[in-house]
Amino acid sequence: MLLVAENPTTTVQNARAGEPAAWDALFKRYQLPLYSYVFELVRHEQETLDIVQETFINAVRHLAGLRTDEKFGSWLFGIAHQKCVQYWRKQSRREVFAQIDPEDTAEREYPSSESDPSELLVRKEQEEGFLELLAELEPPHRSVLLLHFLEDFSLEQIAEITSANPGTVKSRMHYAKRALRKLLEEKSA
Amino acid sequence: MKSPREILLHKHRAATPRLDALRHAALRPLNNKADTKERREPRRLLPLLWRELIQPCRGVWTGLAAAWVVIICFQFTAQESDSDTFRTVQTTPEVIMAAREQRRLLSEMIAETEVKNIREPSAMPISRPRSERRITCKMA
Repeated sequence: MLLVAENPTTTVQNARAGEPAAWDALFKRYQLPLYSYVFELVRHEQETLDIVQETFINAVRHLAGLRTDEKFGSWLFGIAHQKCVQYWRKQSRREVFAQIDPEDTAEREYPSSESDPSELLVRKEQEEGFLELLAELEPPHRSVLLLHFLEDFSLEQIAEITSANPGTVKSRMHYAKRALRKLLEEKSA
Repeated sequence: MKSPREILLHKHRAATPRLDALRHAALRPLNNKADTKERREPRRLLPLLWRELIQPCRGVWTGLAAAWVVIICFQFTAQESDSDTFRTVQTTPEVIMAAREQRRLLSEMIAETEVKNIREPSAMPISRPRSERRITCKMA
């Protein structure tokens, strides 16, 4: 079950007014999921901490750019995602997030059951395997799956965070979940 | 069985103390701003009032204060003299006697008037013009 702060919209409103306590509550709510997301993408602890800190600082500076208070979470993850992309570019891994997925070339209908995160439950003995499999996914697929698992973002929200179109996000999600489920089933067998 | 979210958060929970430190560092400028604002605001108002309102017209404010002091003193003294006069009037025996005499005269007058009124209706002549006839009413 996802942990949701009490009255998140009120907290964001108070943060707009410059209340330090409101900012503290918001960052405390998102710090661990944000850290998990960034770490699973960049795979470097110090870089992850730097990116998270820069995300917080940017959020405080540019809160006026957030149009809807309810979208604070996706907005915060969007800032972090852009920092991860900048990191990848610095590491000379250009265009990692701009790779064209073979699945994107054809328009397909994906089963709606594929998009329910609560369906995927991992046994204790499979936990390590799950994390290894996640790390093996390509960054675009990994980021979509992480956003879906960590914060239950919708396809539209993930598309905004990753600056991709919803069709691309849907295909990545479908591909990533299918691959993960298949490998988990193979391991359990 | 755990959800993927639980697995991921559990994996990275050891980073929480560092994240707390990081969060406090990011919010330090905001906290400093809030402290400075709180310290300034109560002090700002009083010196501002003194500077803008009182200081430019010190003479006027002094004169007004002096006038009020005089008025209040006068009020106190006037109240005291009134109460003294009242006590004096009450205690003089001459005044008491004069009041009693007045009451006696008044009661005599009232008694005479009542007797007059009772007699007059029977002695009234029939031949007298109407305008001269007194209409008496016996009050029950």
